[in-house]
Amino acid sequence: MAELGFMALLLGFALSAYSAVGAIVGERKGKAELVVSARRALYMTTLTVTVASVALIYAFVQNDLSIAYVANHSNTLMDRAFVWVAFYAGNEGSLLYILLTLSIISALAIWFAPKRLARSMPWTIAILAINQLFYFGVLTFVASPFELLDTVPVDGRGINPLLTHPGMFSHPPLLMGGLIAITIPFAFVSGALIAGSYGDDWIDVARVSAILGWGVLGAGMLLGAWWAYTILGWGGYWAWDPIENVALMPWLVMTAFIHSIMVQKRRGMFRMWNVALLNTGFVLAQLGMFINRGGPVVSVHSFAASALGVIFLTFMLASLVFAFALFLWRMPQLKSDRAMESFMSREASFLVNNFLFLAVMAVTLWGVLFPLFSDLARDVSVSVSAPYFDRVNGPVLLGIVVMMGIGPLLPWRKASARSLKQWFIWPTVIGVITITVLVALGVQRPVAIFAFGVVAFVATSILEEWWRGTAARYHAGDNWAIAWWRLVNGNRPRHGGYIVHISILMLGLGIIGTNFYQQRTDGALALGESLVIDNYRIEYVANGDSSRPDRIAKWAEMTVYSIDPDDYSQEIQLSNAQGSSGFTLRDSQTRPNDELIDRIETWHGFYLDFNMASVRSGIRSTPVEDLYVIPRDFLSDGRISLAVSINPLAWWLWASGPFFIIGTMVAVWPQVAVERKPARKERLGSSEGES
Amino acid sequence: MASRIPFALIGPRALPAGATVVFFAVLITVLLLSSVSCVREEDLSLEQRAHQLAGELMCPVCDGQTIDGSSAQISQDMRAKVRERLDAGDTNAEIKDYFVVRYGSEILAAPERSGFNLLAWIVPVVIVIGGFGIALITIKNMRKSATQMPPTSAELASASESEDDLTDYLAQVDRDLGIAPKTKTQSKPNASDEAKS
Amino acid sequence: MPIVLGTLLAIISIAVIAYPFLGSQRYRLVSESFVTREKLRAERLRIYRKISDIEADYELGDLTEADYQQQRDQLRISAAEILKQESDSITIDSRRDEDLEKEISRLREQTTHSPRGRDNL
Repeated sequence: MAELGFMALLLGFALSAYSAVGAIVGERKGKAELVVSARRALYMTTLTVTVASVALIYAFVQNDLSIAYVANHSNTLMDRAFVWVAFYAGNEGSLLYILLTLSIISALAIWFAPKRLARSMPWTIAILAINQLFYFGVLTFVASPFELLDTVPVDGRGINPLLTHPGMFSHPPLLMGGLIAITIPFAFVSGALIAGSYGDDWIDVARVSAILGWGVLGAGMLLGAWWAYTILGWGGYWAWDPIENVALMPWLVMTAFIHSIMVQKRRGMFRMWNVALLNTGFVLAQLGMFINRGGPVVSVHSFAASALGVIFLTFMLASLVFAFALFLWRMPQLKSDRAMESFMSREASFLVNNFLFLAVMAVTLWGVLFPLFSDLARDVSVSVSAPYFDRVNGPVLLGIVVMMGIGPLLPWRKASARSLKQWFIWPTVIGVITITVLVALGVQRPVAIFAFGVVAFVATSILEEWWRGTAARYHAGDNWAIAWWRLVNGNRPRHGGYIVHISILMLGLGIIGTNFYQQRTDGALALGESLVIDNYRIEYVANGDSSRPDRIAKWAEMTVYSIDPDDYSQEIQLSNAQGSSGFTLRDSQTRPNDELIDRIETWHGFYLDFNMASVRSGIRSTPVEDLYVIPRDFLSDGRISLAVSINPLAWWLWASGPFFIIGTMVAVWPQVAVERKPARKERLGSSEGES
Repeated sequence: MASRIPFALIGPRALPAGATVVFFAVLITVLLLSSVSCVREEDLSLEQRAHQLAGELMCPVCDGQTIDGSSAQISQDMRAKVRERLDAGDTNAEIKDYFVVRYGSEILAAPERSGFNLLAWIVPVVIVIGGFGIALITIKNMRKSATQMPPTSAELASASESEDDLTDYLAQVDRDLGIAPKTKTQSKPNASDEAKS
Repeated sequence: MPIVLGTLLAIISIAVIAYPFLGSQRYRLVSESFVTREKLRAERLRIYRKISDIEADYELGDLTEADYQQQRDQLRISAAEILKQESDSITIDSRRDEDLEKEISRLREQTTHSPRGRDNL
């Protein structure tokens, strides 16, 4: 199958080159056949990449070890269900996957492009074709997944154990797909600019394609966080690792874009700004690809360093130059229809929100590049990791949440005093009450309390708007559910946005809870012993072996009791004196108020070939707090070494996912047109269709 | 607290620009201060400090992980060492120095706030304040052009000039907006270039 | 076997992209006036959308009565102007189409082959 895959990629290389040249020449010379042919060539690349992908998957299913890529990422022991994961587990395969995604969404984009963009489509096709050409070139000549081995090994190396998790079926594909999807709006807008179409013709296509890519990227990041939390077993979900950062940066810029595009849609402003944002997002996505492929920064995620780094750096710089040369060339034509009228307007708040998103992006970029900078400038290595990013980005992220509450309350153009007072009173009151209650309850950490107040403020502002809109319709005779649904339907971009805002608030709750109020303790338990932390007693009750040829693995079972601290006052005093957050009990006698609430199972495996440990944490999750048990190791004396933490509100992090997806879908769902029938049908009919 | 400010600033007409600037300046200051305020060492138990420190030290053999998150043997040893130094009564700074001496400044998960590394911390502040300034100036300039050129002048001019000619069309617009049944906006799949002649 | 499949794939691809040059049908770039009409129509639909958004804002109390009336009227007038342009372009276009028909039938009489290629209105 290797020959077929290689031929398909080579063919795709030729087709995409032809498509790019054909579209441009056809457009310049006015040769319609050539443009049509170029467009068809771009449909055909989808077919060739699909054939290549099927060939690779087939090779995996057959365990064809003569192919180097298969031998490196699979073996006879691998569960065949993970073929799909193995497909993109390595450098070459993931590039093939990216190209597969790009070619499919390119074909869809060209197929569904509205007729009014006909003039700029040749350029859009050319840009998409050049992007595909780049990946075809890399896959054909530099990093071919179909490279053959001289001697066929007895067995393959097997799949990376960290990847054998259901989350891996969706997290990497979504992430890579979301990054590459930014190419689509970029191609539409750049095409329109080259063709000299400066109006708002591209606005809906760019918005919808941008939101789709943005939603996929966001979902991919959230799934990655969930995977890290449940599998990686380090108790966290976001480490500000360089690879996470390079996915986050384009996402932030696209978030700014999908907000400020609404200003262009509604008020005809910010055209220049929107184009600049989209260009930035595209270039940052290329930066992500570059850092992922042997870029100069260390990360858990990076593929083995390879010569690809230089190639991707070149492509990134080329896209940077292209995007901004085009921008500067067409800038004079990208005027706003209207001017800003007031600081207290939704337009202005969108601008401030854009600035905050860009600030987080720029600061993150600075943090990612600083080690490199330090190395080059003075030959001293430094690390820039989570403590830095938490400190510098935390406040700006909080600022974004504040704007999330203020922005939607401000009307377009300018705020009149009456409407402002009316709108701000409830959110402010609820926000202040929340803070007061938390202070009265003796909750620690002022910053977190303020942040909770902000979340309450924003939540109230959204609910208030829904309440008013729904109530108005309710009084007009609908029932509550229908009234709400009609409200949402009436302006899907706006209300879909609110649903996403709610998911962000839930995410915010989880982030505040886990960052400010986490409790942790470590301990080693023999069977029958217990670890006590806060109001939990965790008793180690059973274990067993689940080794397989490729790994040494054990599972351990624990029972969880909720306890009354009074029963344990002596031990608590003692452990406080020692400066510990928890303590170990040698006996496992149940005390009067102990109550069995849960059983949890943890698993710890060591993969010999990879010299790598993989664990499954035991998690008892409730909306209030998670009890999170990491099996660090099974000690030689038979004890199990545990790291136990209580992660308040962590449940909300994952609960936000469905809201994020639903909100995104609502926001892009095709709007109901206000128009009822094509105007002047009788006259239009005669000239429709250009023959 | 910040959420109460808009109230105080809302005048009878649209807000004065100055007040808005003050509001956002205060907001930014609060947010920047919030990053400075952190829990004092003395308020934490030794174990809490041990976890905090583990999160601030990199694992020397892993790619980009702190010893807190890594299960490598060296991380376990380093965590034990941290705890040992804490029990001996060292301050956080002393413990970090202990590791810096042995592993180099790379061992710190965030650069120190001194010397060259100060740049790492100052640039973000410059970005935030500078970016904020640019945003404000942009809005201000956009408003200036607003006063020179009333936003609606073009529309009004063209409207008055030909309102009579438009009567038919206005009626059609009102019909479109008001009467007929709803249809979806179509993004028809098409290949318009391929239209046959 | 893989080589055969690969060759087949190449042949299919070449056939698909060569078809526009070989087939009996003619292709033309989409006419300027058609694109203009499509753009105008989309612009008009966007204005309609804005009007309904403004109505929603007004219902929610985001807009004062005066602002609402003023903005709505402006948008209505813009929409009507676009409608006017749309129907003007149709009139011009249909006239051109008639000319074109005549031209084509004249050419048909002269040659047996239909003239291939574009005509870019």
